[in-house]
Amino acid sequence: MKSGKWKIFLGILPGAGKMHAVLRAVGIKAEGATCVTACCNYSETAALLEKITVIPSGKIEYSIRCTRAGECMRDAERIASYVESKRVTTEKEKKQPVENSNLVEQSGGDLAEEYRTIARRKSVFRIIAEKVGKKKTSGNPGKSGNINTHISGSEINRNQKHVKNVFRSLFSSISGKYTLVILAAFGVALLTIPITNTTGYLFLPLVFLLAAFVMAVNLKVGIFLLSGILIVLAWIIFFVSPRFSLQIDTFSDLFLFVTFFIIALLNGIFALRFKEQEVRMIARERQTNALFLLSQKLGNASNIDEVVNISMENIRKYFSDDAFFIFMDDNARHIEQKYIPSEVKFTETDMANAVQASKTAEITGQSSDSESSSKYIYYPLKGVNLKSGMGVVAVRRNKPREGESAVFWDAFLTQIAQAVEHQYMGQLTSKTNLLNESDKLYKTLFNSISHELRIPVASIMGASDLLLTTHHPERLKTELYGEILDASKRLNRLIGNLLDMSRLDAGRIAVNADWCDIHDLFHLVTEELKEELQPFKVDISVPETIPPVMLDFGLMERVLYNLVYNSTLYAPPETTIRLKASYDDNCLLLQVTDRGPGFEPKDLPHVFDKFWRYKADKTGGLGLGLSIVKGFVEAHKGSVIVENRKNGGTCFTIKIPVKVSQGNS
Amino acid sequence: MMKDTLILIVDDETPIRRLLTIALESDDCKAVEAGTGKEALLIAVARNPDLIILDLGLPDIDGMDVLKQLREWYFKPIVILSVRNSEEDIIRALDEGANDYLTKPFRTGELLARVRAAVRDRQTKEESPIIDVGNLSVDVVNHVAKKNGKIIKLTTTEFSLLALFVKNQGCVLTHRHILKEIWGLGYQEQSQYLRVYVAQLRKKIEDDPSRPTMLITESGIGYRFGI
Repeated sequence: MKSGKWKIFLGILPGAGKMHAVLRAVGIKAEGATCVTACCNYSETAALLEKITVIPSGKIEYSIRCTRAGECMRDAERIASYVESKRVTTEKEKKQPVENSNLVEQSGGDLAEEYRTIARRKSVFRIIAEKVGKKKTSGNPGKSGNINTHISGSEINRNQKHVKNVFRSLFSSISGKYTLVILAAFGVALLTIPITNTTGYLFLPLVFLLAAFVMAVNLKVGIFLLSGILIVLAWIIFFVSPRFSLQIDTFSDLFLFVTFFIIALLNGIFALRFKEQEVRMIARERQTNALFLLSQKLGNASNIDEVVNISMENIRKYFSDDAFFIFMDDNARHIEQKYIPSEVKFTETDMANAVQASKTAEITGQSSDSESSSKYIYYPLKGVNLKSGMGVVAVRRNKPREGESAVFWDAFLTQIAQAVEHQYMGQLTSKTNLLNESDKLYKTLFNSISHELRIPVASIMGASDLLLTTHHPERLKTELYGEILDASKRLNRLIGNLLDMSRLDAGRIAVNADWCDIHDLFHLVTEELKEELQPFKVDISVPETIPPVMLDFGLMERVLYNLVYNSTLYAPPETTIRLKASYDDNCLLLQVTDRGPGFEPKDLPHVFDKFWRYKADKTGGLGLGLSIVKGFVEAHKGSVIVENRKNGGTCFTIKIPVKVSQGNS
Repeated sequence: MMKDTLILIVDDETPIRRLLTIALESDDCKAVEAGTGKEALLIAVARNPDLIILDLGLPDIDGMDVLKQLREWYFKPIVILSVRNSEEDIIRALDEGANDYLTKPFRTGELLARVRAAVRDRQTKEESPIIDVGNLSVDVVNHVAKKNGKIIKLTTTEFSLLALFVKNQGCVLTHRHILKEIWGLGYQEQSQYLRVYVAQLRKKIEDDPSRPTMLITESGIGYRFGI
């Protein structure tokens, strides 16, 4: 399995009217990591899905096109799609899936279960299905283990939604609603009075029923009952003879009144039911929307901090709960990182609960448990591959959620857990990359070391061999001895640099600061490089009054040695190499300047990189000197910068914060 | 160097021992070699050499322990041979009674100079109270220092410091050792005093104080006077 990639397994059941919108959302959502799956070719799909019924449906052609587009744009990996529809194009296609599904049923398999198994095996990130027939989605898809299964509801007419919105704004306040009901009842009555004079009143109940129905759709039970009673009263008062009284004369009128009342009530009840269903559907849609928004945001998150922030924000938004995140280390034993604001009280017991939840992958801290005093419920984060041990979400609640909201919460949590896992996988990948990088570094090092070591060894061997085998004039002998000495020095420098570098890499540089005299430091370095500095003018500038400063003499000596030695390599003879020290604001400034060729502007940011070498370097070396300079200076909590000088040459400036001796200087 | 000076070379590396033997014999010394700590202790007892060159990294006994065991009865010079990145070891060895140190890789000329200085140091001790080093002459008894025959004005501390250096000329003195000798036991960590006084002393005795030739800094360890 490729880690760090999201895979979305798309299943479409019949009646997938709105699915294309959903898919488009998914396709564009998870930035750079989306895998939307779709497949038109039914036999191919069938092969992938093994024994699951797959029938291509013309209705969802658009969905598939959308997902394909997403697939191309996002460089996604396609697994499969599950397409089932009643409309089948050819007889052959019709037969095959039926056979397949029969096979599943014969073997005692559950279609939904099979579907989930495949999804699990393929590390699918999300299943999307449109729920229509209960039969087809037997079993609770919400319990598909770690796979985020999403089942969206049926379509809602957009126009109806619009009308509803208009009414909603009308009936926005409760008192307004009552007033409106009263006004409507009497308004309808008053408006219809002139008409009844010519046509008679028997058609009126229908008008009233209509009014009652419209109101029932948008109103609560109380208001609805009031409206029913008012309308009936209005009818009796205004239209039933004798007019303008509550008396009913004829039996037919009484009968009409009773049936009218019953019909109005029934009407209202149906309307209420309709309304309730609509509310539920809207809630479902909102949840769907929330989940998609969440997954979109989580998909765009570039690190674990962002994932946590987005999750906390969304949990607060949709659940009004405070949630905190606690992550475990690789062994899932200790807490590695917690996202708990400092003002929030989080006790040892709370932590223990959190660790327990993460370890066992069970929800802890519920009131049914022994720790009833716990203020939090701990939900373990379970990924597709990492079933436990990633971390825990602590939610400040007393009771776990129930019913629909629990299902929603589970889906929410799964999304978050998967985003966390995604980040974990990402980290793992970057760790692997780092390893590869260090492997590369090792190879570079090895290659250059073997090369750099061989050259001085070759000159030592060559020179000593010559000295041993033949007789030479004294002058040549001296030269050969000089060669040997030079090569040995070069070898020694190389080994010194390698040792320094390995000390730096191992983090074993301990600064043994002691009082140092800068005069001394400069003198020692120039003395060490006496021969190399022979062709140059050396200018040492140290203010007389500079007090002793706290430095690691040995490390700083190496730093200056490397810088001055570099200058001797590149600067033309007869030019000046300058060492300058100054002291200012508890900061020691050391400068090494030369009149060498300087650096290319594009190289300036890289000169301190390990193994970086000056272009067409004829001088040999591993390219470690300057990175050692940087490492040692940084060990002193200082900084080093390099600049090209105006009239040619380079200037290295070291800035180190130091303590100065206030003693009797 | 005096003829028949016997020098014990303790090092586990045969090429190093061979090189040292050649170098010392070219300087009219006699050399005996020991490859292990045990061997070194045995030869030291049997031959009582005039000087021991001791490597700190030995295969059997830690060089530092060899040094300690030797110092129980052996009071002649011991020169430590060590690899560069063990400054702390060097300081410890010097504190344990070693007279000087050399880092590997070393230059033979320097090694011979150190050996000569250490042997001479021992021979000249307890002689006249006036010690001459280059153009400098120090009368330890009368507290008078002269440069090119001219008296130089020194404070008491400066003179004590100079006297300590000239008495141990050619040998390295650790910061702690100097501080203890001049300022006393409580001042061993106050190395900024030492820096200041060394700088002042250099101004008075060196021809060019920024390029000292007599009072030499031993990076991270201490000072050495003349050679």
